[in-house]
Amino acid sequence: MRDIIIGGMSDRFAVPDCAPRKGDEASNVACRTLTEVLRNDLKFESIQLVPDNLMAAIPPQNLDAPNYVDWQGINATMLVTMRAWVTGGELTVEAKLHAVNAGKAILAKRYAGKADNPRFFAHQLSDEIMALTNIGKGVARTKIAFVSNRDSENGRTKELYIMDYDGYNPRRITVNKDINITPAWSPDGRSLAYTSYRRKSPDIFLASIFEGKSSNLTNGSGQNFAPSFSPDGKRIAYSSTRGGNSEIWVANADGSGPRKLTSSPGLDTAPVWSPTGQEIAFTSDRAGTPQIYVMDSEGLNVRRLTNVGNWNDAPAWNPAKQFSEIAYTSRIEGGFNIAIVDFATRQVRQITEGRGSCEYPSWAPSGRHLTFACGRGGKWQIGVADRDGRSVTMLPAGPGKNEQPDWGPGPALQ
Amino acid sequence: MKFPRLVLTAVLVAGLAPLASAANKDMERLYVQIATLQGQIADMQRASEESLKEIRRLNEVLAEQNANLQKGVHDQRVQSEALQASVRELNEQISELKERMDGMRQAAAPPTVYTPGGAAPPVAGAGTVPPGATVPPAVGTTVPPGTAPPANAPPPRELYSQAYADYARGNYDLAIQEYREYLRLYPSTDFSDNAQYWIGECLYSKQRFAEAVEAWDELLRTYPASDKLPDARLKKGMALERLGRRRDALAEYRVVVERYPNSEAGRKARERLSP
Repeated sequence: MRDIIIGGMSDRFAVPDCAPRKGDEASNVACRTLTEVLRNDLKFESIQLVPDNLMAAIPPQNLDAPNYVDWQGINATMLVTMRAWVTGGELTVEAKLHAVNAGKAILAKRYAGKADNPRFFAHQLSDEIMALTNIGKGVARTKIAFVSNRDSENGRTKELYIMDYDGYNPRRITVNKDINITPAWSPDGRSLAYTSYRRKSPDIFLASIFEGKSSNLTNGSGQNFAPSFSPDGKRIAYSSTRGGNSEIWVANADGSGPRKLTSSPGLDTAPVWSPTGQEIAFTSDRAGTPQIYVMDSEGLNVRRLTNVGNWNDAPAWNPAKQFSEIAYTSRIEGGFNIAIVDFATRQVRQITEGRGSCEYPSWAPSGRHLTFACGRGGKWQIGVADRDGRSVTMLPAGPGKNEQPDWGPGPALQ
Repeated sequence: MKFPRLVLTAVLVAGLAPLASAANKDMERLYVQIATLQGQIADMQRASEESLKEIRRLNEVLAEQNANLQKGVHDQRVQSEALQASVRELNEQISELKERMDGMRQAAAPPTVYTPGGAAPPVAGAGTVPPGATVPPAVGTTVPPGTAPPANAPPPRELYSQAYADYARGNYDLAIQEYREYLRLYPSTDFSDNAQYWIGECLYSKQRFAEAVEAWDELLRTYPASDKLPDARLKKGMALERLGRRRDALAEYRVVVERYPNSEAGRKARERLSP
C-alpha cells in the first residue's frame, strides 16, 4: 500500500461528486455533504484540488472503475471516488484513493455508522489520505475547545464548549452556570483542564469529557489560573497566588505535589510547555510590561523572549518539532494581534491584521495552523490561520461571545 | 428659591410692629431675631451653595488635570518603552558587532580564557550521528591561534539562534554540535558562556548526566565570571543526584546557597537541602 508517497505540493487531487448508490433524498444529501466536507478538509491541509470546471469536462463514467486516461487529461495525479447510501438510519460510505498515473487504487475504505453526521466520515477519509502524504498528520478529526456566554442567563457566566476543527457540531462541556475559562486539552484528548470560579475563588478543574466528571485540582489554595498539560500528560503547569504573588507552579496531572517554579516580584502567568517538555514559556511583567519569558521546566535559565512592543502575552509553543517557534498576543500599533517568533531566525511575523483585536493563539497538533479569538465591537469569534498568516478564516462557532480557543489533539481513544 | 421666604418674613415682622405692646416687646424682639436669623441662614445657604458649586468646579478642573497628567504619564511610559526597545535593539547590534570584532581580533591575539578543544567533553551521541552528516567539520578542534573565523563561517548570532532552535525541537546532538562550533569560532563573546551552559543542558535533556556535569564544570573553569554559574551549579547538583551521587549533589547545593543566596537557583538549592 505504501509504495506511492503522495507529495503534497506536487500532486493534484480530483474529488468528483460522491455518487449515491440509491436515489433517495437521504442518500443524496449525505453524498453532497461528504463531497463538500472532504474538499474543504483537503484544501485546508493545503492539498491542491483540480478545479470544478476541469472536472466538468470528464465524460460520465463508472466511479468504481474510473478511466484513468480521462483524469490524466486534466492533470489530476490523485483521484478520490466516493459512493454512499443511507438505509434505516445508517450511512455507508465506500471511498477509494486512486493514483492516476499508476492506474490503480492505493486506498480503499468502507465506513458505516449513524447517518446523523456524515461530516465525520469525510473528516476520517481526509485524515486517512493525509496519512499517505509527506505533508504530515491530518487534523480533520481534531476538536477545538472554547469559552462562550451563549447559554448565559445574565450574560456574565461562561461555559466551555468543544467543536469540530471547522467550527461545526459545537457541544457544551461545563454546566455549572458560573465563570469557566482558559480550557486546555490533555494530550490524550479525553479531558480539559480549565479555570473555574464556581467556588468563588478561581481554581483549576479537570473535566473528563466522556465520563462527564469534573475534579478540583487546586482546592482553593490561592487563586489559580490558566492550566497547561506537559506533552506527556503527566504534569500540569498553572499560575497561582497561593504564595502571595502570582507565580508559575507545576503539579502532577492529578494536582498532587505542587511546586513553585518562579519567584519574581512581578506577575507570572499563562505557562505553556515546549514540545520536548524541557521548557516552559510564560508571561511576566517583572520588567514593567507583560513580556514572554522562557525557562527550563525546573524554573532555571530564565530568558526574556520578546523585545519588541509593550504588551506581549499568552504564549503558545508550536507542538510540531520541525517548527521551532512561539505564537503570542502582541499589542501592535494600539491593537492586539497574533505574532510568531521564530527561534532560528529571531524574526517576528504578524499573523492577523485588521480584524479588530485578535488574541489567545493555540496551535493545531500538526503545527501547521493556529486558532485564536478576534473581537470587534463587542463581538468575539474564533478564527483559524495557517502559520504563515495566509488564509485567515472565521469559524461558524455559533452565537454568543466565543473566545479563548484551545486546539485539541486527534480523536481520543474511546 | 429662598429669597421670597426672606421677604415674607420681613413683611410679617414690619406688619406686627405698630401693634406691639410692652408685653409684646419681647415677642417683637423675638420675631426680629428670628427674621434676622432666618436671613442669616438664607445667606449662609446661598454662600454654601456657591461654595459647593465652586468645589464642584474645582473638582472638575482637578479631574481634568489628573486625566492630563495620567495621559502624560502613560505617553511617557509608552515613549520610554519604545526607547528601551530601541536601546535593547542597539545593544544587540553592538554585541553582535562585538562578536564579529572579537572573531577578527583572534587573528592578532588568541583568547586567554578559552581552552582549546581538548578540554571539551566528548561529543554526545557521536556514535549515533553519522560522521560529518550535517555537522560542520573539525568539531573539537579550535581555530588555531592567529586565525580569524573563515570568511564563510556563519555569523555568531545566526549560529547561536540555530543551536537553540535545534535544542528546543529536541535535536540535542545537532544543538551540541552547533554550540561547539559557536565556541570554536567565537570563544569569547557575551554568549560564549551561554553556549557552554547549553551544551550541559542538551546533555542533561539527553539524560547523559555524567557528561552534563563535565560540561558545566567546563563552564566553571572557562567562564568563572559567567552569570549562568548559579543555574549551572544547581543543575550540576541535580545531574549528580540522578547519577546517585547524593552527597556530591548536596555539597553543590550548599555552595549555591552560600554564594548565590538571593538568586532563583539559591532559593531552589535551599528547597533541595531541606525538602
